[in-house]
Amino acid sequence: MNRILFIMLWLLVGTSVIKAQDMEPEDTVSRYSVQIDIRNAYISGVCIMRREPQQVTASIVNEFGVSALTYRYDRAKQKVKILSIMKKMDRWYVKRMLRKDLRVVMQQLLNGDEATEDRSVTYENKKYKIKYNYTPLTNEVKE
Amino acid sequence: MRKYIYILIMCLAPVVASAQNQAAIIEKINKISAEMKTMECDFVQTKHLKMLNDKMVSNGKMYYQQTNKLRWEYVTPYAYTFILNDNKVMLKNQKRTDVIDVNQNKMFKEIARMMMNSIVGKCLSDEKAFKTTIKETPNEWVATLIPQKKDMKQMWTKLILHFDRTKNIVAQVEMHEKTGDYTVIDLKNTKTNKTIDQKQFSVN
Repeated sequence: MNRILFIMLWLLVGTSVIKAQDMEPEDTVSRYSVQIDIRNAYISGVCIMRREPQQVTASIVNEFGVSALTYRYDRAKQKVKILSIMKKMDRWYVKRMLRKDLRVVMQQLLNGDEATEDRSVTYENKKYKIKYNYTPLTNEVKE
Repeated sequence: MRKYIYILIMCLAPVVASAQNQAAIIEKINKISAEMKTMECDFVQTKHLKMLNDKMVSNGKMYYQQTNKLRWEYVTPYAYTFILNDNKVMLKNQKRTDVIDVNQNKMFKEIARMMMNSIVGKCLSDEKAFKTTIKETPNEWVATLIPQKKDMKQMWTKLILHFDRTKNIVAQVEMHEKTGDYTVIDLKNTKTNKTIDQKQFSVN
């Protein structure tokens, strides 16, 4: 009986490990066109995202290549840490808001909650009227 | 044998131009840029991201017309157009188009001025904005510009312009940031003093 239970348990554990491995993202880099609308202004650019098993590191740069923001999303804790931010945005209340908003955006992106045809993810912070849009870039330039 | 290797290294190594020579090079570049009525080229922009150990490559087309007209257009992997026409700047992406008066936006004024002056090399003599040193190699002049203004310092630690000595034009621009990230823009297929359709600079 014990042996049968052990085999069943082993099979279940084995299956769940295989499933977890199937779902576990490899170390991949993806790119998104990003637009953040803030009342009468907006920030646009490209987000480069490195997905690793434990974390996702993302950098938002404007079209001219100037870095605006780099952050890291911890998959287990489901938390965002701001690693660097441009001087003009370097305020504690901006960073706190970004941490909260980007956490939701990252969850949507990683859960594949893209409901639109272009696989974009949109999140709106209704309190501060800030809208985040991430659209995958498809036509990558080859060097 | 060692002597020959030493001589070879000395010949290949970039040589820092003397103050007198540097002034002469800047004067020459200024003269060329003054004579350059128009310029158009393709560009490849490579953004190197230290934290991600990755790079992002984008490319597009550039049109310039003396004295205050510039079209900087990204074609792939995203569509984005920046047009400067005197005091107006038009920004266009796939979702929206905005026209800004540069006089009302200091940051844009700086960016627009920096872009224009870098492309034609005018920024070398802008002593208020940059501290400049020039090195010479057999094929190019390499100008390192350290920003002196607060706004510029916040964005870049240094800019490096590579001038093709045979063609007397900027061939590459490097923009280095505090984070260790940097952007390299290679200008290719450059044509100068050709007529450019004014539609390219339309901001309406």
